[in-house]
Amino acid sequence: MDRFNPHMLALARDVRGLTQPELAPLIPIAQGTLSKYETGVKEPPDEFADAAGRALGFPPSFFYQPDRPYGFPPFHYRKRKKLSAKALGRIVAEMNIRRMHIRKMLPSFPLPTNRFIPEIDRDEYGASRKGRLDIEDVARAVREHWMVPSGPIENLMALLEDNGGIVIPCDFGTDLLDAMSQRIDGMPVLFFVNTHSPSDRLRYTLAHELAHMVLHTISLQDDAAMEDEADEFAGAFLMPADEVRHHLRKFDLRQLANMKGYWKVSMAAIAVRADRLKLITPYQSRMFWMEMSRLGYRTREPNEPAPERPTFLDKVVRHLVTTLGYTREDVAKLLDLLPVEFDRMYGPRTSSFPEIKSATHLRVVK
Amino acid sequence: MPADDLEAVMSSFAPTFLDDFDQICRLSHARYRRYPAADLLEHDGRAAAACTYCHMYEEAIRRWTDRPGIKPLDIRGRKVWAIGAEVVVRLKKTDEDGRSRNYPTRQDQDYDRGLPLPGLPEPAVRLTVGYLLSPTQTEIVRIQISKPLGRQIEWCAAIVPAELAVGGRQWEDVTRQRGFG
Repeated sequence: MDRFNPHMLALARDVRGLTQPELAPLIPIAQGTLSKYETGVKEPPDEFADAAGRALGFPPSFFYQPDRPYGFPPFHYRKRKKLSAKALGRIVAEMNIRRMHIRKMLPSFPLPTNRFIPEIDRDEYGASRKGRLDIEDVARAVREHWMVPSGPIENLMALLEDNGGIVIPCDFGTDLLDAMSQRIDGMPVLFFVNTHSPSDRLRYTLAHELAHMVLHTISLQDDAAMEDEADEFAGAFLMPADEVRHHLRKFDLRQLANMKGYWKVSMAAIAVRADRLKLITPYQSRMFWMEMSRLGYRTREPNEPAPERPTFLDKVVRHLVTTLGYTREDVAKLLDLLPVEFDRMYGPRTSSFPEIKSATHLRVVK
Repeated sequence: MPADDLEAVMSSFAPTFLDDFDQICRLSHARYRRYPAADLLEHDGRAAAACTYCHMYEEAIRRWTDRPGIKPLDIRGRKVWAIGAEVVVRLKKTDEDGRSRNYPTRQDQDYDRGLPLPGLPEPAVRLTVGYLLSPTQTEIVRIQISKPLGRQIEWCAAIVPAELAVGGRQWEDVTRQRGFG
């Protein structure tokens, strides 16, 4: 058996939203001892993994995985500042656990190799365009590269998954963060999305994350500049300027609501886009935001578009089950999960999802 | 002249027709909102109201043709329904006071003032059945019945949808209260 991995203990504790003082009595163990096991100062006895697994809802094998956790990507500094340490720890842990699952499942799944999410080297790209990186131009180039027809993007999650990304629905346990993305060598780009987020906001946030993956994985800038570029890219990618411009000849709530139905982004995102394209005056912009606040639309807008659902992970699990003959317990074991936890994370979300058979056992009939 | 105060008028036809008024407006608006998003985007408020009105009219015809107690009248293009000999209603998009917002024709002004119009039963109470939309114009806030008095509104009653009706109350007085002074 592999060595006990202290990182896994910290991940399991974080994903359950527990602090060391909260977890220690559940095992039960002194907090000092738990701390030493978690920091790797002291090697725990074999039976500790059983006890910790019972307290945290993981099989003992979870703690012997050789993987190492990754931290937050280097953007979203402002968003991170709003989150509590506990919420942040939980999100990072969830992202790491999901990433490890995908790494284990993907070798058994035939991945198309000709699909990828492009990365732009700012220096090279800028050099070919006289030193200036035009975000509108980059967004248009990505649309063209993926052969996206003009008009609204029907299903952004499907588009990302068709082009080498994996969208992973997660319970972040907070509504302060809608999505997060990661580009790790040897893996498809991962987009973690908060299942509690409104669908209009989620589309925009996913496009924003795509921007980080396209623009900010080779060279970094300061946080405000990266966020601004990602916002500009998201608007340009979802609502190309030449198409959205004539819709914005009128700028009132009625028109924005109809545009929302067409472009499937929030009215707020459309207003920001109008502002960036200088199609409205600062006064119109100010009045719009005041009206949105007055109506309570800044927290939740009406006419939310139908939510998009990622399908890639369902396909992978379905492949393991229907093509490779895995049972529910087999897949749970592969992922170092308890079967009940596997059901929560990868259970049927669509009617087309196959019934996963449990392992059948022989028993003596008297 | 039949009694034209809120209580008397509403109680004269409420049990029979309120649910129809509510459904006609809601179904028609919902049908309009199901138009392709690209088409909705090209409509202005007037086109939206005109399309919704066409659906309302057709829905009313479907429901009320051959129904005793109500008959359609066409007064030089203005379509109204006479409920018995006491009440005449028209269908409109209205504001929160129950007023229709478009520029009224001379005939509409006469309708609102209660002046004699050829073909209309006299002296029936003239009402407007209207729908009030949300600020984005995408959702119905309420269906209401108002009694116009020229450009003013004498009273306005909101229909309580059947699923929200408490104690069998089918309507609520929503007439705007005037301030003192």
